[in-house]
Amino acid sequence: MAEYSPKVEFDADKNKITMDGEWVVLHCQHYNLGFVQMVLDAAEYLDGGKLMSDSAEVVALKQLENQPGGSPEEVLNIAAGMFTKLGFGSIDFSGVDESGGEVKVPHSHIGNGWGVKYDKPSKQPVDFLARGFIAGALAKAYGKPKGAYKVTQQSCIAQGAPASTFKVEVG
Amino acid sequence: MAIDQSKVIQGVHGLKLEGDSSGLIRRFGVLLNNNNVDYYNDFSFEFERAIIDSHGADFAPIARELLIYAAQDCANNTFFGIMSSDEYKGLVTPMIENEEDKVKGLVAVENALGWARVEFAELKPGEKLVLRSRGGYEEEGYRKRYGKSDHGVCYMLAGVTAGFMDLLYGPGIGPENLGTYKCEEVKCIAKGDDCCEFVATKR
Repeated sequence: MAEYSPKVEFDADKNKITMDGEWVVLHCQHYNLGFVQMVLDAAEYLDGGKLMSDSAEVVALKQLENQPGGSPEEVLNIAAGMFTKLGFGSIDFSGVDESGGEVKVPHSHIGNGWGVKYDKPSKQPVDFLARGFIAGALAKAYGKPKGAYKVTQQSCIAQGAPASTFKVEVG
Repeated sequence: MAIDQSKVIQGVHGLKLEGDSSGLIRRFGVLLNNNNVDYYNDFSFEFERAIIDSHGADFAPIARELLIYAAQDCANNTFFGIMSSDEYKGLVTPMIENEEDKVKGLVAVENALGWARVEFAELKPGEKLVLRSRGGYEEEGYRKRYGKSDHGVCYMLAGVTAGFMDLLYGPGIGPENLGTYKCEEVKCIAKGDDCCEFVATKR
């Protein structure tokens, strides 16, 4: 089965890093959790979590477009490799198929990062990045458009759970 | 010996910053990730717009300040970890001969992260730092989505510039200094300027 093996290039004139032609940047959990904190603080007024997961879904779909196609299992294998290589964490798609199911994230940049940054566990699930990535990966795997899958985070490493879990339903 | 930026960039890229067997990039006392610039741009600019839509234009500076603060926090933690690392002490510290080199060393690392072409412009130690950039992912992303802006849009680079001053001239150690300095983006390519220019001064 094909593995995720991106072509990484650095344009020294522009200081630009690309993976398979897509511009990527390195950031830490402090920056990413700063964004999450903004979402939580503004929750009374706007659904920032949806903004964040929508952004992640669009990007996952776009990045997977550049990858070899194949069966849903092959696409999800590539997606899992991408999730790991990019430093998002580890992800297990074995509990999900075209009609939905559950996705498990045993390690997460956001969830584990929360524990490193803050003394107290989060009061709610906060991995909007993984939520969007899962929606994008499944849409690509099953040849569906953005928004085809509704992903809800059920448990979160940031809350003290041993793994983050996500319920997947068709749109 | 002056700061050899290409050598620093080579050194950083030689670290193979990709996820380990658990998919985490543990370096410099923080967790890193590689993410697409569209993710950061989409969220930042749409969040800013959503705040303005829900609260009115008077709240725009607050939204921007939050975005800048997230980056300043990042700079205080990540660059403190970088400055404290054996890699930095082995590669960059021996090149530092004066106050300006302390900033140029950090800028060289910044340029390895793929954010923009950042250049040192001016330093008054403890008082003021001026950095300039071209080709930043924020200004490029903003122009691609919305066209010309009436304000500076490089919130991340502004926060990092303030964070450099926090680290170098704040009264405490490392992240204890968060927020000692502030930064204004006085020029931005998204506004039609020839470069983006960041001026950090004491808050």
